[in-house]
Amino acid sequence: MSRFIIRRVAYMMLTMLVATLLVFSLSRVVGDPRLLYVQEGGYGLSPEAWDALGVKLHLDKPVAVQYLYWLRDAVQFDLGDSMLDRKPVSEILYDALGPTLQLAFFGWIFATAVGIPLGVLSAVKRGSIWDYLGRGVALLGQTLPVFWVGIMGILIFAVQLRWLPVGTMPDEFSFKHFIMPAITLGWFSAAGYLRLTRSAMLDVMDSEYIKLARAKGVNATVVLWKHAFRNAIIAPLTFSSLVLAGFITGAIVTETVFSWPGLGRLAFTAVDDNDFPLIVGLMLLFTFMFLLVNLFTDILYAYVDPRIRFS
Amino acid sequence: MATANTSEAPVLKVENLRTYFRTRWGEVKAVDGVSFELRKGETLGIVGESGSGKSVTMLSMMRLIPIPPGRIVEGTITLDGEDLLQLSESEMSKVRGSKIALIIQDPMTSLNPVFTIGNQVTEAIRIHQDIPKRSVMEKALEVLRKVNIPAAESRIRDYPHQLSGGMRQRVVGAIGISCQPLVLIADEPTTSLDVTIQAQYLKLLRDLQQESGMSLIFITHDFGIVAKMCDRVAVMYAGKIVEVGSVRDIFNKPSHPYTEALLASVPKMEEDVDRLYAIEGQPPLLHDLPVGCSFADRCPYVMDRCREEYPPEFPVDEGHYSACWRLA
Amino acid sequence: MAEVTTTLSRPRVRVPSWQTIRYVLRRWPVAPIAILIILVIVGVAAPLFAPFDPLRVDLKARNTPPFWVPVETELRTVKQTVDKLSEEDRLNISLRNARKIKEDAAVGDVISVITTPAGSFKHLFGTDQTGRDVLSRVIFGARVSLMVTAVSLTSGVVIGVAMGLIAGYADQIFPKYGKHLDEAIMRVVEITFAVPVILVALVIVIVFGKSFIVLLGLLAFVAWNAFPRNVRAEVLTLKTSDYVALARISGASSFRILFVHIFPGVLNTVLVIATLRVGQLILIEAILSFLGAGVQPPKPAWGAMVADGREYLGSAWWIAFFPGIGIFLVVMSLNFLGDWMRDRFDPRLRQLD
Repeated sequence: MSRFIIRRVAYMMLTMLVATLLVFSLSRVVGDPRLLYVQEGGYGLSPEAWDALGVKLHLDKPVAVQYLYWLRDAVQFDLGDSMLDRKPVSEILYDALGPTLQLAFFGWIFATAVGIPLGVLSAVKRGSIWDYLGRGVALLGQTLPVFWVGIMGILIFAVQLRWLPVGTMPDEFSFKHFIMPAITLGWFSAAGYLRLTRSAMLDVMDSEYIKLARAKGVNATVVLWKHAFRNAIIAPLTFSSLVLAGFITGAIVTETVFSWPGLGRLAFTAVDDNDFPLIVGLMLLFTFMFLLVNLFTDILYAYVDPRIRFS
Repeated sequence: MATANTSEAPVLKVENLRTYFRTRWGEVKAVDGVSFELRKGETLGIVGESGSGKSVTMLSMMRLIPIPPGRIVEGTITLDGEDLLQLSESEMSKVRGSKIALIIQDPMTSLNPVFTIGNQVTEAIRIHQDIPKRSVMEKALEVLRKVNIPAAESRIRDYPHQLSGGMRQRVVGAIGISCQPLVLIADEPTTSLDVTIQAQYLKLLRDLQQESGMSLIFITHDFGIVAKMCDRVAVMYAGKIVEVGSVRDIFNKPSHPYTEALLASVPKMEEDVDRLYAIEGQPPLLHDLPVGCSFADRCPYVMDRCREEYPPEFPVDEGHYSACWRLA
Repeated sequence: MAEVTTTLSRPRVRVPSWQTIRYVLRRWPVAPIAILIILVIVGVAAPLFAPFDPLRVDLKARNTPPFWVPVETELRTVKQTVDKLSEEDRLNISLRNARKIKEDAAVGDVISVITTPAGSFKHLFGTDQTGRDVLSRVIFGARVSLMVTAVSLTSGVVIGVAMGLIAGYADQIFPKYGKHLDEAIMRVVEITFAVPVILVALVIVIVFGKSFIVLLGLLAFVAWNAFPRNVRAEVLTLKTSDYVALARISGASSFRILFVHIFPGVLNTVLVIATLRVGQLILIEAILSFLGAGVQPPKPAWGAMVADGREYLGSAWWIAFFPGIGIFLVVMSLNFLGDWMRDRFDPRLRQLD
């Protein structure tokens, strides 16, 4: 098992390196990279600033060397300064990381707490009200556009009914503020979990080993949870990595809708303002988070399904 | 072959079992009035085509029929004195695995892939027997050795995918006998095994049976296995038993046209034919059974009476019955 | 032996007429198809259906509600001073503020009367913040979505299917390194699956600007990567069939075999995948427009309209509402249609998505 983990970690590092390469080449693809630092409709850069930037980016050296300089800085968390704020990018990212992580956490809780149990219920009580409820929830989650759900939520629950706050994260922790953003973020994934768990349960419950377990005399509830569910959960587990990856995307929209001070909204404003260093930092951070999540799910998956461990 | 003890009451008696399924094409009468007896130490073979109702009969006996589409309409299943169909679900789950056990067909999928062999073998023991934990593991090892699993102590920690097909089937067998059942049902246990492994496995089952005195029900479509393993045979067609008798009677004096046809379609080494014999026609649709004998459309001896009324069982010899109007 | 004949003893059932209708309704996805047909017709012939020019500004008719909303009058009265100014103060005016407007204001006085106009049949869905007719914008937005989706889907299909065909048949086309080509293609596809689309979209937009072409390219990229895997699997199966072997023996070139013999067998799968993908494409286009990276204003696009409507949620909720419903209806119809097609034409594709 530990060999497996080491292999996976090494693989992740390698992928991360490739990602940095890709991000770097993106900045060099349009010719002179300093152009990216010039704001549209702004004053441009003075000749001195232009030259200074050239030195900073080591433009006199070959591209490969530039890359190495850049990489060295990046590893030390020096990603330059944001063009708009003039604050170091790493600092901005750090401030925004917390809110996004918290939102992602609650979103994930919602997605699993709703998706998986409903999926099991929907499979076990096929044709009943639970089944239709579950499938309805799943359908809506996958067809309603994320931003529209958030906006309608604000409209109904914040503006009309005044039950929940409009948005934004307050300074001290307030659970009420998480409700709508978490649901908005997580609903699409809840739908995915639901459908996946449901079909996995249906497949498993039809299998021969379940029949044998019942033939052994194991009682129905134990068969359901110990034998069936344990097998059915494998598929949703791998799905988790997709879910959390989807959150990266979903966070951009959700945070924008709710004015949430996290990485997603940061990404949006960065694009809007053409703030290149910030974008680069965001991309690196997102990639890293994505790879980390993948790593964890891979390990978890191997732990749960013994067949994987030995390959 | 174990000889049957004919003077005692049968250990298992199935009377007039009917199991129907509600489908969108109508009501499927998968088992439609099946009755048979099984004595202590006896091996009964149930033979028939797929769709004849053999597996459903077996599942009905264990009460493992999925209840929304299926239901057991009528019948009694008397095991060791009590009617299994009258038991509550929790009482029934105590019977399953301990008094009546099952070996199913496909070794590749009959063991749960995420649990160890040990876990799955001890589970049955733990549920049915009230013995201290340490002894549970010992019992498991004992039963694994009985089915000839080499190096049982280390195997017990393995996962199913680490074992070969033959070994998996032995583990399934071990689970089956682990609580010394009165009746062991084997549903085509050798179909997915290699021929050489088949022979070993059948011998194993015979040995286990002789040692414990349990009764065996063998569900198969292979007459070779029937000849080797069984004392008595019941032939099923379209949800009913059409002929029942000792192996010798059935092979030497088949009295139902279907049985004759089945035996004729087994290729024989000495024969020199251009074409293998196959029964013409198709089995009837189980939701749309014809009035009268179900085999009428394919029967070479069909008479008018066959299409009017379903034949009752007629005695042919001692313990040998056949449901055919020819014997009237 | 007598001649044995088989009769299928199945009586013919006479089905009454209305049951036939129900039968048809159950087997065919009538509602989704109807919705989609309406959408296509309306979108293509948008100028015929839209009552107004979607770009026509009419500031006097700003923020008119949909036709069923009656006139609303709001009285603003003076309340006590409130310490924590909240959303309440939109309606209430603190005594202090009131005194700024009218010197001798007292608690209970009516300070101002706000009348929101009623909706009318002139603007069925109301108007937006600059007076543009929402219904017309929704209709033209449909047209934009339609066009964008059609173009990107087509290019995506072409590229994706081609890649799948080549990958599956690579060892025949290039005997020496065909297998590596196959693997390389599949790796690339795998990687693109992992990439979060919106993020990449945003970055591309930064580097290449917010143009229409960029949008089409992005969407083609999203559309493309669903095909190679399944198409390749089909090719692998079809590759071993007899008629392909026959064609090869007859000396047909690999390309001919691929496009004349194998390609038709792949069409079923492609159709199903394409239908399932279109819904996703529309959603992504909507999200991109919402974020400002898609269709640029003032061209009407559903996502952008929802974004606009965000600021006016309290006062003019219909600006955001109707485009969203449009997206929802279309995507749902596409999902249903796609599921049905998959069940009918290629049940093997029944996975999560």
